[in-house]
Amino acid sequence: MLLNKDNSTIQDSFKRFCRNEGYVPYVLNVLIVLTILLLFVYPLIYGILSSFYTDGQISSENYSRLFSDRNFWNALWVTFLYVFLYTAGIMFIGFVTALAIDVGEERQLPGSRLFSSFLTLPYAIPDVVGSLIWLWMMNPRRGIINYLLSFIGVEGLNWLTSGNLALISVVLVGIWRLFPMHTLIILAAFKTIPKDLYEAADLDGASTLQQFFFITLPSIANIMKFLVLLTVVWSFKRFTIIWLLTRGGPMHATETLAILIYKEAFKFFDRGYASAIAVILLLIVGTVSLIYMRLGSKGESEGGVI
Amino acid sequence: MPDKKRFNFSKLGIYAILIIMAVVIVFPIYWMLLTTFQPTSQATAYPPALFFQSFSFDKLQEVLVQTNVLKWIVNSFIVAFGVVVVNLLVSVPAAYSMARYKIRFNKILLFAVLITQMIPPAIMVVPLFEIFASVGLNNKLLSLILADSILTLPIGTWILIGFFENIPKEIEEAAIMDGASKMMLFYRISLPLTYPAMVTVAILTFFDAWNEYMYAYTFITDQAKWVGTVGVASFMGQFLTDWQAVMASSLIFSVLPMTIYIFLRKYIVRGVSEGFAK
Repeated sequence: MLLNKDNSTIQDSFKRFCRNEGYVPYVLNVLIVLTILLLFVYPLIYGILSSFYTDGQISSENYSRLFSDRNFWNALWVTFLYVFLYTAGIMFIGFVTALAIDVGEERQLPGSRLFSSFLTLPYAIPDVVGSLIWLWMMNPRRGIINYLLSFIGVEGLNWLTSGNLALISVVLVGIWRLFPMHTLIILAAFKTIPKDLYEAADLDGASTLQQFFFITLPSIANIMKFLVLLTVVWSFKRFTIIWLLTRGGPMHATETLAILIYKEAFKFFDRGYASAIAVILLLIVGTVSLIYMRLGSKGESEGGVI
Repeated sequence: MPDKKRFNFSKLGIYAILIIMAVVIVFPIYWMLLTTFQPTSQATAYPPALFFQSFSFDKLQEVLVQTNVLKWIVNSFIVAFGVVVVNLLVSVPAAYSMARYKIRFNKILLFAVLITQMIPPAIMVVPLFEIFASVGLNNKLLSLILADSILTLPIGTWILIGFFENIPKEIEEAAIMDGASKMMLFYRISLPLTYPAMVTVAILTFFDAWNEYMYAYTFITDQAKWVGTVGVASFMGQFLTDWQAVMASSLIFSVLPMTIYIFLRKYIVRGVSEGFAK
């Protein structure tokens, strides 16, 4: 009796489900679920599991090796330096450029529209091409940059082969490739500030500097906060430009975790160890992402950001 | 003073910033063109000439004829096109579902999609390489289509969700009155309205796939199946680097994305700013 009754409710709700086409949202999601499971979840688990194997045996050797591996600690440090310099640099340059365009357009200065029209040009240049062009321009003996610098008395800089400069060069090329995106986003943020705020401040006699600090900055603070966190998360992904410019050298000076993983896996063919480093990177990125998602759920109305 | 301007930066300061940034953006591209289109003796001479002295197509022709660069570009095109198709097939219905049906399952799914966006490809490259090798996909362009698809999926889904949410509910409600099924609402009513957003997603996806290097460098070892990124990068560093050949092949490889950029720029700009702060 009970079973029968239970059965019928299941059947009933199933019928209702079908009649109301309750399955539609799920059917539409079939492909994306399959894609994520097969191409993301499965490889991720596969990678995590293989970090616990050494020569076909379950062991934690890969992880204990990490502690004594100077290259690993170096890569950790280089990664943090890279992330910091890249994020700070791209935010600063993106902000300054966006501000200049915004003010220029506001005052209808000739040329500022033209400028914003080709701003995103580097986005059309593949990473590989951008790297090769800069590699050629930064060539210590025949490159254009050192040639131009020689006019102001700076001679023979080794942009990519000196330990002190290489990381900065790599960061700068990365910024060149992607800062226009930041400019666009910050510019879009400026445009969301209501004009009457400034008019009211004008009436109250606020100086332009006061307006900047008490209207402009607070208004875009939220978007900037997201952008910073997102840039941090994304900067862990950078591989191509570093790989092509320096391959992590000279003397590991630009060897981020991404580069180290790649080298361990495909140069020294130690994929188990590479997987262990990948798990550490995953933990770091996961932590930052979590912070980001927390902030995201609090200020969701402000702008759903990826 | 009602006509007071917002910021009192001097005009000079604004122009200084804009001109410096313009030079920084354009100069590397100009330098690639200059190196490619000069006679070899001038292109790599030191001290270098900052402006064109004379034109020459010799190197461009040499690279086109003597190397596999066109073949690699065709491979790049196959991969990028495949990624665009897979991506649209996967993300369009999912984005519609997530925009229209705010059920718990969809929220979790969206979260998962956003997570995929955050994971560095360097974490995925080792397991993907082993998995593809075990199913015989190594050295196949299909492996790149699959691996790149997951890279570009989140941004496409995100832009499309925003777009579907902006379609007024009234349009669908009118169709419901006429007895349309839920599937028909998606297929007949909302889908045709998304074509402009699909163009944006297609372009961004195409650029990302065209740009991808690490997977291509790892999964494809057969030279004939290389894609453009790997092929062009291979010109560098074998013995003495022929910088003019490197620049010429770089230029050839950039022609397609640059053309797309010039003609469809508004779609890219819209995608970036909409995908971000809707």
